[in-house]
Amino acid sequence: MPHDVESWFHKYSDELFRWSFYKTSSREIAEDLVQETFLAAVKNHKNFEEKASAKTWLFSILNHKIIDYYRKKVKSITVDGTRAEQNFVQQTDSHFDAHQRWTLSKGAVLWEEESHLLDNMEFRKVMGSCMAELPENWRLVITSKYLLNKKGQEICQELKVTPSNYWQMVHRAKLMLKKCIDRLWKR
Amino acid sequence: MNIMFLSCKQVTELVEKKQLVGLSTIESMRFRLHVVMCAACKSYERQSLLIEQALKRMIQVSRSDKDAAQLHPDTKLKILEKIKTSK
Repeated sequence: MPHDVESWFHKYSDELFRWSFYKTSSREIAEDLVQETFLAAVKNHKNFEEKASAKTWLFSILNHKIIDYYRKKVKSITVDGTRAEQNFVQQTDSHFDAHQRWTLSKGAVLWEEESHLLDNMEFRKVMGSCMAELPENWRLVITSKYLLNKKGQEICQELKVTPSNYWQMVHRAKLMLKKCIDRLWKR
Repeated sequence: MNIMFLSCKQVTELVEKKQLVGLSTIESMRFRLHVVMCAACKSYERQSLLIEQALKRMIQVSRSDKDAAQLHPDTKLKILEKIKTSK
């Protein structure tokens, strides 16, 4: 191992870890990605230019790993939705009747009309529980544009999915969230 | 499927399309025609936008929560071992 990689590890591993933890919301995955980053740094050490900043170089490797992770996750939704996800697809379909009209219960709470809902701690808790109920991959899809900081079509390019594929996934996830908030948010 | 009238399910799909890439003229016309008559879809569009804002907020909070996160010392040793033995 090139000696400087070890010193980079001591210097930057926590910072890299925090970044990948934030981007992936999982300690385990974040640890794996940090490890892969340093393994790649050892392997490609000769490509590193002495004048460059090691930190910047390591972060650029890590960012590639993070994007790869997202792409794999998103691809697995479209290719072979797991059984759990299929259950959720059936569940979101059940929000509509045979004529594709809403099957809403009478007297549903119109929570969108409440002001300051975003600052409401109770509402945030509800949002958190509802996010936790979503299949992991769907959660990733709907948070990806904020985590990767991409808007509109850019996020589709970044994730390598077609726009129609993307909004259909978001559509499913949103319907689940809506139903869950309807259920949990009571005045 | 009716040429002029969209179902609620189709409208909820277009809610997402509208936010991501925008609607075509025809889609937009059908969309508005439906929403004008359907309170449930009108309210759903607002809910969808509100969920977006809530997600954005959630991500910001989750970032500040991780400000002090550190790799576990054992994990560090393990990773160091792996880098040392790799070529």
